[in-house]
Amino acid sequence: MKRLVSLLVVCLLASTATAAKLNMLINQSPWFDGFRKTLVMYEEETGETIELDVTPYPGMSEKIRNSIRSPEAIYDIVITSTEFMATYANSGEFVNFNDIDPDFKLDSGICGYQDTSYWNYETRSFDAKNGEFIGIPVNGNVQVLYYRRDLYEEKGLQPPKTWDDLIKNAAEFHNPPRMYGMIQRSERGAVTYNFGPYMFSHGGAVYKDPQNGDFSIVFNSENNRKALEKYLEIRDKVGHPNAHSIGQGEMIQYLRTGKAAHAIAVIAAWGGMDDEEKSAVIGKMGAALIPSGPNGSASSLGHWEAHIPKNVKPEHQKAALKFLKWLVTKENQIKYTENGAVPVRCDLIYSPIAKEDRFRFIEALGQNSEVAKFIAPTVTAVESTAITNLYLNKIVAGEISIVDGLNQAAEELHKITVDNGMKTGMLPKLK
Amino acid sequence: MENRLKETDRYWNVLSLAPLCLLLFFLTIIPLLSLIYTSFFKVTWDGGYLYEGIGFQNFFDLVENKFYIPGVKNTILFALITVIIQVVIAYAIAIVLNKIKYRVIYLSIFMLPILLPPIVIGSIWRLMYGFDFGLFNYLLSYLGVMPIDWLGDPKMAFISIVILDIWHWTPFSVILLITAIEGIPKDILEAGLVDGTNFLKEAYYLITPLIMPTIIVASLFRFIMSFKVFDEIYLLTQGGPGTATEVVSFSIYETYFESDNIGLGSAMSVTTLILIILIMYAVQKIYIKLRLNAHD
Amino acid sequence: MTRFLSHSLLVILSFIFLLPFGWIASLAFKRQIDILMTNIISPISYGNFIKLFASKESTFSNDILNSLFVGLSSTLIVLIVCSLASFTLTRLKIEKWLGMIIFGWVLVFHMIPPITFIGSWFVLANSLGLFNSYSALIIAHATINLPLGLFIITNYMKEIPNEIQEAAVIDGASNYQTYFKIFLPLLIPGLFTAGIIIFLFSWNDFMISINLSAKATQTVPVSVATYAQQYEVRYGEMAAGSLVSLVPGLLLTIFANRYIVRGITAGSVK
Repeated sequence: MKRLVSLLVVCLLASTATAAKLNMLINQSPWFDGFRKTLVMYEEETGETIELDVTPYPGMSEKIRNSIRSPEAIYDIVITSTEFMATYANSGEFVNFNDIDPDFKLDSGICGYQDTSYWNYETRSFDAKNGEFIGIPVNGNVQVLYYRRDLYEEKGLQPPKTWDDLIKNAAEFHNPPRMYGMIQRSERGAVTYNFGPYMFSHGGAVYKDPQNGDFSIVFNSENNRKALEKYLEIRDKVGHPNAHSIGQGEMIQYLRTGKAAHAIAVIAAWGGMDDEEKSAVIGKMGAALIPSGPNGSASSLGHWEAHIPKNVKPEHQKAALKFLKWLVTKENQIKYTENGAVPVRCDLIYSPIAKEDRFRFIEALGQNSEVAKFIAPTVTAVESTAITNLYLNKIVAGEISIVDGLNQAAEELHKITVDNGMKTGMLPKLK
Repeated sequence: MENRLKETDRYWNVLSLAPLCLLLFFLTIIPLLSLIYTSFFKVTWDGGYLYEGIGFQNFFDLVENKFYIPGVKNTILFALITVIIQVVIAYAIAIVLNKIKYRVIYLSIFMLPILLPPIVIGSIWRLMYGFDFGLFNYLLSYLGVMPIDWLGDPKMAFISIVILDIWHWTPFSVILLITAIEGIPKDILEAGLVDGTNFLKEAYYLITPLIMPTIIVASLFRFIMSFKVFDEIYLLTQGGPGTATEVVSFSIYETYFESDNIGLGSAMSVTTLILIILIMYAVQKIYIKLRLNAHD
Repeated sequence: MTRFLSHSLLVILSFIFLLPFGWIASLAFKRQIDILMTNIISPISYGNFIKLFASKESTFSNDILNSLFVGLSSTLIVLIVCSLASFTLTRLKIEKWLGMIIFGWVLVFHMIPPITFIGSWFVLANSLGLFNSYSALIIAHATINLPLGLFIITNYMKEIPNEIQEAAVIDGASNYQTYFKIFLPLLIPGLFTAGIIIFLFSWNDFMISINLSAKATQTVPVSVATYAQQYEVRYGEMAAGSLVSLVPGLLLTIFANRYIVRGITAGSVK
C-alpha cells in the first residue's frame, strides 16, 4: 500500500517530459509501416529525428484541433485526410511553405489532386492559382478498380472500359454466394465515397464549381440520377444484395477471400493482397482504371496532405519542411513505394518499378490519380457528407426513391451552404 | 470535552467532503456551465474562439437535424429494452448463484465481456454478424437456418445492437446484485428457511425486497449508460442502415467534434440531459404509483 | 431438483457468454486470412503475439503498465473520495440540502456524454502542462467515475445497521474512529464491488484516454484501437492485444470476487 502511494506521488511529480526533437501526428494504417521505414531512412541519412505519435484514426481530427489551437504546438507536422482537409485548411493555422522557403514549389511529377495543396481563404476553396501553399501530399490514396486478373486470363477478358463492360465481365463470374461479380461499399459511413466515380463519370457532382468558389448544389441533377441508376443496375445484376451494409472491412474481406471478382476500393487496401498471412488471392489481383461513363473515367480522392501549423517554433518549421521536401522527391518516392506506402507522384508510371509484378498497381494508381476528383472540397465536408451518405444509403437500401432521396438531400445540402455563408444556389426539383 | 468533539467533527465534515466537492467543482460544474452557455452561441474559430449569440437557434436547429431526433427515439427504445432485459437476466443469475458453492468461478465467467475494450467488441462482433462469412450465420447453417441479415435489415440491425449490448453489459448488473445478496445478513435468510419457504418464494418474498435499492441503482446507472452508448455501435453499424441504429451520442460526436459545431453540439447535450431527467422523473412517478397500488 | 435446474441454467448462460468471448480469444491464434474466411479450425499461429510484443515500434507492454497504473490509481482515488463523502453525507448529522445537492449534481453529471467536456479538460490539462501526463489521465478517469463510485458505496453504506453506529457513539468514538475502525471494514465487499467496476471502466476507457494521452502515456484501448484502422481491421492482433490485456483485469476480478462473495461464508455483518 505504502509503495503504491509513493509510486503515485513520484509519478504525479515526474509526469511530463518535453522533447526537443520534432513531433509528428500520424494515424495507424496499412501505409503507415511504409511511412515509418522511409522515415528511418531519412533519420539515418540526415541525423535528424522525428518522433511519431501513432494514433487510431478516430482520434486524428481531435488531436489536430487540440494541437493547432494551443498557444504552443504539440505536433510540428500534422496530416489531414480529405474528410477534414478543407476545414483545417480554412482554420488559418497552417503556415504558407513559401514563408519558410520562398523558392519552394511542388514539382510537376507530383500528382495534382485538384489543387489540395493550396487554399484560397477568400473563396474558401482549393485553388492553385490564388491560394496559399499550405499542404504537401504524403499519401496518394485514391480509388481504383480491383479485378481478378487470373480469372480474366482464363476467360481471355480485357479490363472493362465502360460500366456496361464491367457488367458484362462481372456477369461471367457472378455466382453468389460463392462469388459476387462486383462488390459495392454502400454502408452509411462510406457510400458517397464509393459512389463518387459513378457520379463524376456521368457528369454529376455535389457542388457546381467548388474550385472557383461556387458551391451551388447540383446533387439532384439528371446526371446524378443516371449515375445512381447505373449504380443500382450493377448491384442488381452482378453485385451484392446487401451492398448497403457493406463497409471497407467487408469489401476487403470479399476481395481477399476470393469471393469478389471486382470492386472499386482504395489503393491503400492493396498492401495485404499479396500477403500470405492475409490473403487467399496472392498474385491474382489486378488494378485498373475505373470504368468510364458518358463523361469519361473518374475516381474519388482519399489522399493525405501534410501541414506545418503556425504555432510551431521557426526552427522546427524549417526542419519539418526539410523532411517533407525530402519525402516527395522522385528518388525517395520510389523507396517509399518499395517500403509499402502509397506514392504521391504520378510520374512513377514511367519509372522501372512500375514494370515489376509486385508493383503492378502503380500504373492504375497513376491513371486514377489523374482523374480523381474531390467530392466535398468544402469547409463543411463532414456535415454535407453525412447528409449525402444518409440519403444515398437509404436509396441503396430501398427506403426511399432515387428522385425523392436526391431532392431531399439537395435541400439539406443547400441549407448547410446557406448557414455557412457560402456562394450557393439550387437546381429545380428533379422529377 | 463536548465542544472539542464538535469542533473536530466540523473539521471532519469539511475534510471528508472537500475532495469530492473540489473535483466536482473544477472538473464538472465549470464544464457544464460552459456547455449550457455555449448552447446559445454560434462558435467559430479564427485564431481564437468567436462567440456569436443566436438565442435559441441551436435548439430549433437540432429539431430539424436529420440525425438527432431519430437518434433520440432509438436511444430511448434501446435504453429501455436493454436495461429491462439485462436486469432481469442479472437478477436470475444472481439469485441462482447465491445457492451455488463455487460461485466465484461462474461469476468470473460472467464478468468476461466487460473485461474487453468496447472497441474490440464492436469490431469483432461486426465480423461475427457478417452475412456471408459471419460466425453466427455459419453456426446457424448447421442448424439448417437460413442466413440472417444481421446488420443489413433495419429492424434486425436494431435487434443486433440490443443483443450485443445485453451480452456486453449484463455482467455490470450481475456484480451489483450479487454483492447485494451476499450482504444480506445470514440470520435473516436462515429465519426464512425455517418457515419452510421454497426457493422461488424465498427469492420473491425475502430477497427481492431487500435488494430492491440495488436493483434500482443498477437500473438507473445502466439506463444512463445506455444513453451514452458509443464505441461498440459506432464500429458495428455507424448508425445505419439509414438511421436504424443511430443513437444520440453519434449526433453529438459528429456535430461537436467532427463538424466542430460546438454550439449545436452543446445544445444537443443539454437537450439530451433534460430528456433523461424527465424520463427518470416519469419512471419514478410510475414506480411509486405501482408500489402504492400493490399495497392497496 | 432445484440444484439441477440452477446448474443447468448457469451452464447454458455461461455457454452463451463464453461463445462470443471464446471466438474473440481464438482469433488471437489465427492468421488474418483464416479470420476473414471464418475458418473455425485453422493452424495455430503465434504471429499476432509476436507482432504485439516483439515488433520494433510496439509499445504494448508499456501500454499495459500505463493502463494498470492509471486504472489502479484512479480507482483508489474514487474509493477514498467517495467512501469519505458517502460516510459523512449518509451517516452524520449534516444539512440535508447539502446531500441532496451533491447526489443530484453527481447524477446529472453522469448523464452528460463525456465527449462534450473532454475539450475543456484538454484545455485545462494543456494549460497546466499536463497533456500526456499520468496525473491528467488519472484525475480525469477518477472524475468520470465519481458518480458510480458514490452511488454504489452509498448503497452499501446505508445497509450497515444503525445499532453499530450508535454503539460507537456511546463508546465516545470520534467520527474519524467510527469511519476507519468500524465502517471501513464492514464496507469491504461494497468497496471491492465499486472498485472492480470503476477499475474496468477506467481500463476500457477510450474517449478520454485518446484525447489526454500521447505515445508515452497511451493506454491499452487506445493502442488496441490502432488495429481497427481506416482501411483494414487487424483482427488477430486486436484479439491478441485484448486477450493479453485481459489477464490483469481478470486476476483482479477473481481476487475481488473472493472478497465480495466472502460475505456469507465469513458471516460478515451480524
